[in-house]
Amino acid sequence: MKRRYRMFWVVVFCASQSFCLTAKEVRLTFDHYYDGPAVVQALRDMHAAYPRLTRLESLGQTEEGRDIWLLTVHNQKTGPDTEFPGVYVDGAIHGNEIQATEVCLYLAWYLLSHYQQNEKIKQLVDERSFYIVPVVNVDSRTRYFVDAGNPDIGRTARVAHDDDRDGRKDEDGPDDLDGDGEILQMRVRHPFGKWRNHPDDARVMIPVEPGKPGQWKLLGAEGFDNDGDGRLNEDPPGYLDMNRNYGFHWQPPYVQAGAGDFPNSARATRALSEFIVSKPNICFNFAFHNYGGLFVRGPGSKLAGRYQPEDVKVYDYLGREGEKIVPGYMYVIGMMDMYTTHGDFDQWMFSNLGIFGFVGELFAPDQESYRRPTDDPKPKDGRKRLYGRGPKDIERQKFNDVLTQGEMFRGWKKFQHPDFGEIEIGGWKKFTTRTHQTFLLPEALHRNAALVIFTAGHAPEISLEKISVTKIKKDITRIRIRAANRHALPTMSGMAQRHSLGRQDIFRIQGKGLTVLSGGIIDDLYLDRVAYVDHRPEMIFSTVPSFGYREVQWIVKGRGRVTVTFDSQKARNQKLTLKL
Amino acid sequence: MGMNFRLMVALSVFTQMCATAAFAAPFAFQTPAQIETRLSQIAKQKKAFAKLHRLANTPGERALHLMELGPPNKQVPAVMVVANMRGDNPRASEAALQLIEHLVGDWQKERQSYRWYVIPVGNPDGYARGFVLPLADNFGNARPVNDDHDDASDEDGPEDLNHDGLITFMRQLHPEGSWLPVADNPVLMKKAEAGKAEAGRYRLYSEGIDNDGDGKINEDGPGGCNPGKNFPHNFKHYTATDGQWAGREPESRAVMRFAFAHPDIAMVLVFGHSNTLRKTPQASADAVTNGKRHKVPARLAARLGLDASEAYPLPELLVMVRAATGFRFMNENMLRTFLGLGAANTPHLDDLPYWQEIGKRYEQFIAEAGLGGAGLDPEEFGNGSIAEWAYYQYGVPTFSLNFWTLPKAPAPLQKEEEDVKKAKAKHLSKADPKKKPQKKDLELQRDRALYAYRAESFLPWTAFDHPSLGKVEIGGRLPRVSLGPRPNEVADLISKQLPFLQNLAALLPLISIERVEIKPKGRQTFLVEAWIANEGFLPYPSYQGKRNGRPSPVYATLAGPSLLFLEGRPRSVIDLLPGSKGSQKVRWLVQGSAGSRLVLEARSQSAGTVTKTLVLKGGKL
Repeated sequence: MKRRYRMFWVVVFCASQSFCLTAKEVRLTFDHYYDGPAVVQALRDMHAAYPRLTRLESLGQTEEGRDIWLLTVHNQKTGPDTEFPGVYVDGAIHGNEIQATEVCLYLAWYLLSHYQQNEKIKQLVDERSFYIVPVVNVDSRTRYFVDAGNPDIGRTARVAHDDDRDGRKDEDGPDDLDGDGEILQMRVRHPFGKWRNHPDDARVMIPVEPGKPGQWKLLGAEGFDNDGDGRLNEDPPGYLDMNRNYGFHWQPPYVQAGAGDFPNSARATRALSEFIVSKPNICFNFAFHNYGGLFVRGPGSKLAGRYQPEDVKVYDYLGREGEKIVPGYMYVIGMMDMYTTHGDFDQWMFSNLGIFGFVGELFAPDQESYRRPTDDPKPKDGRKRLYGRGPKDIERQKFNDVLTQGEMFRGWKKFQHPDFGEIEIGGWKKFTTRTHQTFLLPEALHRNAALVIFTAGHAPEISLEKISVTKIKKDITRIRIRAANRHALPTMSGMAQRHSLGRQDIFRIQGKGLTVLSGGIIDDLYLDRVAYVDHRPEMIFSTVPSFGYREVQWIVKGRGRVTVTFDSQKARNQKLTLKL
Repeated sequence: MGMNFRLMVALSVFTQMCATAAFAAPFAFQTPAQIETRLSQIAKQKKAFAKLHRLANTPGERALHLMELGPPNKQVPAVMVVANMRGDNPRASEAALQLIEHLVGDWQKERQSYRWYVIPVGNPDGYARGFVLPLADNFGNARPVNDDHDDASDEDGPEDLNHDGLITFMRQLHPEGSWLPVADNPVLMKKAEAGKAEAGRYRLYSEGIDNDGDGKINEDGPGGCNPGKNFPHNFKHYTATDGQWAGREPESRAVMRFAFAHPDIAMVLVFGHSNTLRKTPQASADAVTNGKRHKVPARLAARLGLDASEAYPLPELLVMVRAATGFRFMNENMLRTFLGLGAANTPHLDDLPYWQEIGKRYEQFIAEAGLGGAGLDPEEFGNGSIAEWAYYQYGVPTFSLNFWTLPKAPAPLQKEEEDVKKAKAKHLSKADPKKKPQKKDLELQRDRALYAYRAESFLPWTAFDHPSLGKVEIGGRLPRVSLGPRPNEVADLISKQLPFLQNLAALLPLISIERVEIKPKGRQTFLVEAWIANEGFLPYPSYQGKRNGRPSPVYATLAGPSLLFLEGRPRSVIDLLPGSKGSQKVRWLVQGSAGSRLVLEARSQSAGTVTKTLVLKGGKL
């Protein structure tokens, strides 16, 4: 009895130890938005709970002195993070696109909290490195929660800029006239105004038909003409769009608005560029934004040139899978389906470093529907209609009334404007239009994180397989090896190969006293066609394609154990030992 | 003897480390350490007007220095001088150092009227390579670059096989050879042209061995990226030398950061290999190419009711697009973005006359200084050069000086030059980059001229037993020799040309209030009209500066006690003031008490600020 009692405590002790060794539970909920301090706290909590699976570090400080946090999720016991394929995920490079951060937090939380119970997740955390930067534009996203604003305010970095070229910076931004914390729309009655009230809902304005009397003239976002130049809100805080400030074919502001003074002139873009270059294992990136319900790939401009066909296949596969994982989203090409951009992150990643990636535009406006499935308007011209896919304002108001109890819209109220006299202020509030209503948030986060996890699963993974070891003569042997990749991502993109971006992958053969007589890539195993290398045959530079293989051959002189290795920056290195 | 003699020739051009009877150098370039010592000394001794900035640490842990000279606590227009941004031109650094000495010493007026930001060595790592043996044509900074994308960086650089302190060339007779000696001068090599019945016989390599056994010689030498090619206008991606992306190198980044933090900079002078004073940049006469007229993308043209095949002037398009979109604040730059026109690639046509006039004055100046005479054309700006960035993106008048070009080869060789010239003329008239003279033609032209100028610049081919190639010959052009004049000419070239900088500074735009008229318009109401003018020769801002929105224009303000503006705004932006008294009128209708004092101010970032006190006079009831 006594013994059994002791055993009981031993078991309890072991169980508690193993529990401590595994993890404290981190309770993160995703039914709300995380403001600046809450994001940092969530990252700290995750790191404290899972110290062996995470690394938390600041990559630098923003213009306003806030840290740019990186959370690396990887089981350090299995080896250094750079030895495993890396997936980079960031959010909120545009500070007003806030829920991009929640996807990052959700992804980290999901990976960590499912590590123990889910074999698939455990394998990914053991064998991949997730580099997660939940907030790129820390200053503007933090301010979004605090400052008066609207869904479009806070896109850029807090770098003062003279937008109206009058020698003063940031002197005429919007103003919260009525002190309600919102920067809404201003309208004034005008006999020739181009807008009038919707007959069914006075909150909604519709264009006036030609010849009919006008009602409202729109004055723009809430504010004064602070600098008295006859323009309203034309020089708001900032205007350095960090997603136009990256280094590939960067173009100056007169060509690309918001580009900044020079490439990487913002602190975050500089810090992230150098960080990413220091991690050559990164093979895919997701940069989350918040409008459209899209997965966007490049090219973003003509300057980016054409993409290699083998890369397009990879993009198409993942993009179409993405459309299934997140229903309603569309996989599109930036320059063709949207508009031209220069200096964006995604293009830099692919064209400068050869790293595949998607821009994930999270919020799909047609989610705010108030209709029966049979009423669903089908886009007439198919995939091309990216915008205006959402419900009409009148339907949105029904959604607002019935599903959010009117929290999204502030009705028009009279206001005595010092310059314009009697006006009305009203409109869609800050956490609307581009942001998910919080009841829609969890599924969107989960599905998008699931796509990241799916893609991470498709990072290149090579297995070295023996095809044949054939004795040709006494001590001369022909060795044929296949390197197989059963995943979508190749060990190097076509872009990287075409422009020699990064180190090439290397097949090597080594053995004691071994002389390598020849070596090459097998073009056709059955017709015995081999592309021999001229020099250093023990080393063959080649990559392993998407869902494919590469076969190599060596003819060697010698006996005993030989080792064949495949070294890659993006895939885990592999080794195969043979006996001759 | 021969060996040391050649080393001395190369050294004398770059570093001046040796001096013998044959090359008695009356002049010596300063080593990086000497430069640093001298700059620190000046900063220490002349605290009243000199300040040394350390802009960056290079990848080789050297300091990128900038010397600031100018009146303390006074706002004056500034000139930024950047020398030797590519690291391969000690003459340019020497000129910048001499300029600093002048400004510290006898150029008092220039020191007091302007601020000078001088960077004597824009690429300290590259420059330092000129003081280490063996000498090679390598000017990158010390950032390791894996040129051949294999398993190691910088593992296959050149070797001085014949121990002469120089990395020259190796030639090997080979069936696959594509080079052959030039018929009338076999020390020179040229690429065989099958179309001229020339058969290549030699393979040409730089001197060294295949260290990593990959079959290539010297394909991955030590360092680096060249910050002189790392600026963001026309930056070239995917080269081994220009950096991964524009502005990544610490040196180029630091120069841009400094410039944007100092909007008082009114002019940038670049000392290097190009010379815009001798060779004014060209712009095509074609209206579409030079940005006078623009085509509209078909989809947009249909919306605007325009003809997509037709080219329209920008102001006209602006009116149409404003009307079509209802966006009345759309400006020319927004329209450019809207039309996807991309960056300007030729100088603004309205800037050109100023440049041409300055070029004319410079030609006259050097002719009077006895430095005239035909030389080869100075180098064109390369991709990602600082000079193009300073004009196209920083938006200020930019001039470059090289102080010397290789004299032309004597008459019998001129036919080839003529061919090159013809090809060039064709290129300029059609503005088609594909029509540029071929690099190989230019190289041969340069080699011939160099040989004629200084035959010792070439090492005669001498047999050598190469460890992997077998029998080869080592010889050919010495490293760095094409870069510089005879040592005894350097001092003279610099001292005679530097004073032109005094003339250049005097051309800077300077705003003034040319005239003010006040007319009474009834009870306590006055019409105030002011003409803001530019006293300088150069426009403010440059036309390109206006196009790219930097620097800010001049703005005029009117202020006074209880002044009421009936017409006009307290602050008026003056878009552009042409040079030589170009002026613009600003007009206000104000109400204020008669006899009260108003202050009229015209302010600019880099062309001065002027104020005038006005009295609201007259105005009987």
